[in-house]
Amino acid sequence: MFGFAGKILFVDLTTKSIRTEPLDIEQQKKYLGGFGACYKLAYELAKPGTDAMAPDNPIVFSAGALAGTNVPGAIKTSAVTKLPLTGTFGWSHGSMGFAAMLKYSGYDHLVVTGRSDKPVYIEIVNDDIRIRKADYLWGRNILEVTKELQKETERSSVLCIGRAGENLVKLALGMIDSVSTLGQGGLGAVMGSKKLKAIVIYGTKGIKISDKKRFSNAINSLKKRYMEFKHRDSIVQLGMMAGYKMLLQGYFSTKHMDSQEITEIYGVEQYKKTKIKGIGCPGCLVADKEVLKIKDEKFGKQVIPTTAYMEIPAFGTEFAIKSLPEAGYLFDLCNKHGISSQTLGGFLSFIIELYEHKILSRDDFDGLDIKRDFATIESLIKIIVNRVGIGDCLADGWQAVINRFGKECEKYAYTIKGSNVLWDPRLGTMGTMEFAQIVSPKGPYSAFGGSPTTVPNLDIDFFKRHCSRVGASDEQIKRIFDSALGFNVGRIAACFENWVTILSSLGICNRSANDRYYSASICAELYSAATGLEITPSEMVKAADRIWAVTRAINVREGFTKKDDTIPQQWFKPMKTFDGKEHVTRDYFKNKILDRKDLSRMLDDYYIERGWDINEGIPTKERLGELGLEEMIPDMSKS
Amino acid sequence: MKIKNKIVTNNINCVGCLTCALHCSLTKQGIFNPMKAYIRIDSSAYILNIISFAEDCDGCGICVNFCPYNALAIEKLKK
Repeated sequence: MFGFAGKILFVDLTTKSIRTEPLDIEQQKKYLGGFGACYKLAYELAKPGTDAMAPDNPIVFSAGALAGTNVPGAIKTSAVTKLPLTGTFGWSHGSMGFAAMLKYSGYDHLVVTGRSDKPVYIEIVNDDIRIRKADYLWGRNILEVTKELQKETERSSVLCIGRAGENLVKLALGMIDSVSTLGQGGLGAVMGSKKLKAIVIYGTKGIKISDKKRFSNAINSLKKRYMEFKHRDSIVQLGMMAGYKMLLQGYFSTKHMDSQEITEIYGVEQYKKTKIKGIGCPGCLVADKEVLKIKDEKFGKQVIPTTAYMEIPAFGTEFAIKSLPEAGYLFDLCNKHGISSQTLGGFLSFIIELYEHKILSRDDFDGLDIKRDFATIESLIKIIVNRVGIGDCLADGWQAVINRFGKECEKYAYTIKGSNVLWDPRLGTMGTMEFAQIVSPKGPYSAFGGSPTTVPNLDIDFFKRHCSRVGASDEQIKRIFDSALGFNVGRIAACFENWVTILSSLGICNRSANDRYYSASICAELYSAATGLEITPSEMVKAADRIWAVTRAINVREGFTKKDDTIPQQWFKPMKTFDGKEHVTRDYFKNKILDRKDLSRMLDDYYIERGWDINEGIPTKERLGELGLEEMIPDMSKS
Repeated sequence: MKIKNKIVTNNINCVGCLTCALHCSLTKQGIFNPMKAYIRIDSSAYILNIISFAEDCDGCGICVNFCPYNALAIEKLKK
């Protein structure tokens, strides 16, 4: 076996049974491995209609096909399960050492089912798999538990949940090696429902390469591209903050603080002062994670490992917190308890709006006055994580609040498929990141719509080159750019979703700092040389099309169709930022203010590009047949 | 065992990416696994990584060639 580890590990926490199956190599090629194979396994193993918290809801963890090798940034772990926040079969992606260690232990995929009656953690050391008691770890924070488990199994990788996951909070996630999040949408709660506190992996087996010379040649030329890139030093120095202008334009909230104030409190200079060390995932040549040291009188010295510093200002600005130490403390609190700061940011904003509009009252919060400030947010995090008072309802997300406090809450819920919108087109433009939130099978997510449309003022030719680099055919490029708006957002979004699907299946990090060095050709070359499974760039794109159809099909089976690809009504109302300016939704080139009709047309174009039915938004029989997914046709006709 | 080079380390520059160890394990053992490498990066303290070498390390310098963060350098031995 080359490239892959060769086995799938199954752990049932009800029966405490452990078994393995050999990897079906043909299936790996059809679905590339990693993310793609993860979804196919979930499709086969999940019982349609199962509850997210039910013992039979499987969690499938998969290591990218090239994870564990020296392919730069090949570190991705994918996890697919039914997520409690949205009810969708959604993915999570994480980094750090988990995927590599899974493969070094001998497994490409780990499937966890069942429910233990007492807290446990799974320890994987090569062929020695143990389900160990975790009573002494239950209730403790992620940082502490990870340290303790890494002391017990030296140099291991640890995925761990916190109090939020234990208490089945639907916004809960897990953390890998205390740095990388895994599980936006409630994976942490699914682990909690199984009484699974952590997974510890340490492996001493190795990954073999099919054609070492060919592989080394590809790696060496790739490395050259990285090291010669003129902005590499600045990316390594500034991490994700290298794109500060873009973050300020679309990711930080400018509703409650003005841009100048945000820059003074959270900007690049502050970042430089607080960063004490970069963190690189295995094989990463552009390390953009970091350890921060923030010192002040209120909190003393805070040492915070982060997957991205930018999440601190994103959270802080949402609540008008004008202190980096306070925002850092809250971000760290989220991480320690294992609750998504990204989801919580949108959710608490919704709660505050309900309070401001007097739908919720002080009595509902046992006398707590709800404001956008540090003390309020700290209190809300604590009552949600521990399910105290109204926190018991808030812990179940938007829909639970609407169910309890009435339908009038709905108009303040800025969500798609029950999860918060992350990118507002009124602040940037209607790029792929913004559009892809509508059609994302799991609900709004950053990665799959990721593209240069977040960078303003690029020209058409740049986008054409970019589409070509990521594997779009000439015909596809023609379709994408046959548009009065310069490019057709629906069609170009499908192109970039395929690209991120390829990267995710190979396990390659899709952060722009890493993605920029890759192309569909480079991916095909590395995959072929490593695994011995010869593949062309166009075959890879077709595999990505197939995988994306599976991500849709598994959710169609759960009842999700076009009716759930909702376009937020907020996008058609002007948004006022703190500086008094009004912002409306425009196309990328800012030639047109977009209305609902425009968006509906973009949505139809997306379905057409994908070969899906435009009335239902589901893959057609013909398309499934072309992709070799005939077995899924009966499930589509039931919806 | 003939030691080819003395390798000097700069722990402050190390980000723990294990690129050195990945290349070492492939060169010396024919497989990818940093646990099998002759260079070891201890990341257990978040604020600083500690680089060390196994007794079997012959100072071939492959780790130095591939370190992307200038955490390793070769100090030529006198003949």
